[in-house]
Amino acid sequence: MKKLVLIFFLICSAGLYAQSPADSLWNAANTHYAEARYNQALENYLEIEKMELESADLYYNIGNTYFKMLYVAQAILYYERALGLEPNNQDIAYNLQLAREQCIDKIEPVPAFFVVDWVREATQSLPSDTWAWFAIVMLAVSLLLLLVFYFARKSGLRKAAFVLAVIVFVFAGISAAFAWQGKKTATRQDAAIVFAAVSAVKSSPDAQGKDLLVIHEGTKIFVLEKVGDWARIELPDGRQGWVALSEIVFVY
Amino acid sequence: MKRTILLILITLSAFIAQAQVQFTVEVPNVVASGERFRLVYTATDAKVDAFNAPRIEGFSVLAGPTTSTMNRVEYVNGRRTQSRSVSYTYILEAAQTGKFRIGEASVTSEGATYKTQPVTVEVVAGNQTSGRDRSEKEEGSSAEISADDIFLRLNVSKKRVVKGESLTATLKLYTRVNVSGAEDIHFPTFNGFWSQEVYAPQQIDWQRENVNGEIYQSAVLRRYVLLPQQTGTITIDPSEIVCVIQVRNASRGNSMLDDFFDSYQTVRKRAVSPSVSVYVNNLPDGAPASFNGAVGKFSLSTKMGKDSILAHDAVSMYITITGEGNINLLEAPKVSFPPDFEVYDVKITDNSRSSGGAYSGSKVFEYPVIPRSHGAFTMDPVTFSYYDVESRQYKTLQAAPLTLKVGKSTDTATQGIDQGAGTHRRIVQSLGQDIRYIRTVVPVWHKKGAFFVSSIGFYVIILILFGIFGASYVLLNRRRERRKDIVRVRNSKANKIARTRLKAAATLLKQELFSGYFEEVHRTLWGYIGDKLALTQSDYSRERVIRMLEEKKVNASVISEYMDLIEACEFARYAPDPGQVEKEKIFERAMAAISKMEQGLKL
Repeated sequence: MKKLVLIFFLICSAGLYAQSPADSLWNAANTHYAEARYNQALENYLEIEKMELESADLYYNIGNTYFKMLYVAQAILYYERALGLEPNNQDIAYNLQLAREQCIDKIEPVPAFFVVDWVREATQSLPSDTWAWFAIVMLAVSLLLLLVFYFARKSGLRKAAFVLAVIVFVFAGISAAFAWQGKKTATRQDAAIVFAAVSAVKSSPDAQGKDLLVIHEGTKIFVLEKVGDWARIELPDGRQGWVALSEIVFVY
Repeated sequence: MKRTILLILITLSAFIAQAQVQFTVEVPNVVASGERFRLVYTATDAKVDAFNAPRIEGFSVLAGPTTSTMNRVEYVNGRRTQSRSVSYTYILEAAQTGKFRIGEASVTSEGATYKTQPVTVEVVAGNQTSGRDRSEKEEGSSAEISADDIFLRLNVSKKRVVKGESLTATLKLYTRVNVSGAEDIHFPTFNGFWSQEVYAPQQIDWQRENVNGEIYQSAVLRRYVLLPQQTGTITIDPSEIVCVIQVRNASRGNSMLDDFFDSYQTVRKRAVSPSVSVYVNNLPDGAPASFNGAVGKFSLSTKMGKDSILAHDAVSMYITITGEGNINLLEAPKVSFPPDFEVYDVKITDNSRSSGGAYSGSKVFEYPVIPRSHGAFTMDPVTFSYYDVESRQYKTLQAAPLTLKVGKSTDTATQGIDQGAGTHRRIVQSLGQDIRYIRTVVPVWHKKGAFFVSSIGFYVIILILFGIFGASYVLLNRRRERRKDIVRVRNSKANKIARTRLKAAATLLKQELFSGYFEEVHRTLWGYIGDKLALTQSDYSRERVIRMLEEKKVNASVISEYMDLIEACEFARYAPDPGQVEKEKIFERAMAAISKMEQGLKL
């Protein structure tokens, strides 16, 4: 048994060593950041990103670096990405809020129905992966209780086990649903950040369209549909219009 | 002590006032060749013992030195002042053109020697005639005055400067005719500059000056110090002056007397200075953070008014900037005091004045502060940056860090604040806002876009869980079935086995092996109940068996009879021989108990 554990750890550590280029880039970038060489820090961070690796911490650090370099729109983009992976992280939320305060546009979001809010908050209280693991653990507990129900001799125990098994199973289902919802939120294709310093929102997908609104760098919008080079967008307060795709960058 | 110093100062100043010997030289700086001119040395308030003549080269000395003495008595507001001066006059004539130096002269007065500076006289070829001859000639020709005769010039000391670098502008009037007065003067306005007049004479001081080989009378009308405030080409608008000139109408005749009857005519002539452009460069990029527009050359010193004070007492920090440049326009450098210091408005004392081309002197910034808590504080060193005009680069001065010891306040009224007692609690103030720091722990890397919930692993684990569940269900079920079989078999065979064993016991009884006989009966009884209740090895305990039998609703008397019998057997195994009858009785009781139990369990 001890040997098995040892082998397991060896395999794990081998896996870690295999990714050591990313780790060394990460450490180098952190050092650059600490010594205020933001250009080099950013270069290293982006290199990790190019390796198709991700983590909320990486996006958070990239956001911080952009913020220090006074690229607010980029900072917001990466904070949003980080928040997608770890929706309940207070640090990311705080920095995102600070970055948003640097933006020109102030948009009051439309309040959602309170149940929707609750569900969203519950979903976002943990990352998707944690919900997934919860679901698995609860499924295991539920099945164990089911076995107890089948094979216990005392009738009281069997009853309790059955009720519990059903409840835990329902929770497992909810956890799995939250995990899915979390993944959906993190990878939602429609969220985007305005990158152009000033962007005119048109009434139709062409340059001759009437100007409806003017939005500025760093504003978060949702894309409802795409037509050619144009995207129909919705602001958090519900107003809609068309902007050129070149002026926005998708969060995911 | 102070009084002594004061006394010394008073006597010193009196002494200086009395013994203020001045020895000066006076000579035109430009002369025409062949012209005669005067070189005058004047010693004021001196008792001249000896006059050492200068070396005069390049000029022929026509006369001199002639000595003249002048006494002057003045009454000003009832005070009598007397001055006495001795002058030595040479009359020289310039022989050749060029620049000639007249060496220093000196006088000895009461043992002290006073020297003049050597002077240089320029000799111009231009007019062979003397000044007077020339003017006669001109006046004879025409009463018209050309633009060459009188003109105004604005000279700037530098044409290319950087923003903030000081320069001087001198407005000068040049003339070859007799100017008796001026009216309607427009001085330049210097738009785009900060400007200050540094020289505005009450009395015009004429000097001779060589302009392109011609001798002009020149006078400085105004001198300004300018500090450019904009960049680009700044044009200084022209200035104007209307001069009143006396022109003599030459008489027709050539009589000796004619000169007396000449009539004079007053002519007004407008002189306009050409406009002057100054190119102002912007300061180069890369200014240090502490740069605040200072241009020139400066030094920095800082000090605290006191090194140690008590909390809630006021103390001042002084920053002194000394140097040359736009010092009069300097703003107070930013100082970061510890957070618990109350900082009041900066007091500025400007001790700068213009000298020559630029402002120089010192400026003192006083920062009054009141520390509100005690402790030893070290102020961040004050930094001051300026643009050095000479080396064309920014320079940053850093003063030594200042320390201040703040003791606990002894004032009971304010002590509460000091100790943070309940009555004076304060809200912790936020001083600034910044994003939170980056994460430094190496994170767990994921493949981009990989979520556990959508990975194969998630479903595999779920499948495995269900697999384990299914397998354990099947296993447990099978075990339960098998157990059920065993129980049934044991149950059905219990009676038979018990009877077989009892027969074996009867055999032992016949063979008179009593110990073996009781043991066999005892085992039979336990074995029977064990089979019936499907007991495992660990279940064999009196209490447990009784409880299980009670659960099966077996009659209490049957149970107690059975248990008594087991006890009796156990007892008999080690007891002395109880006798034949008793042994057989046990046998019968065992038979009866088993059959009763059989019935009880079936019910």
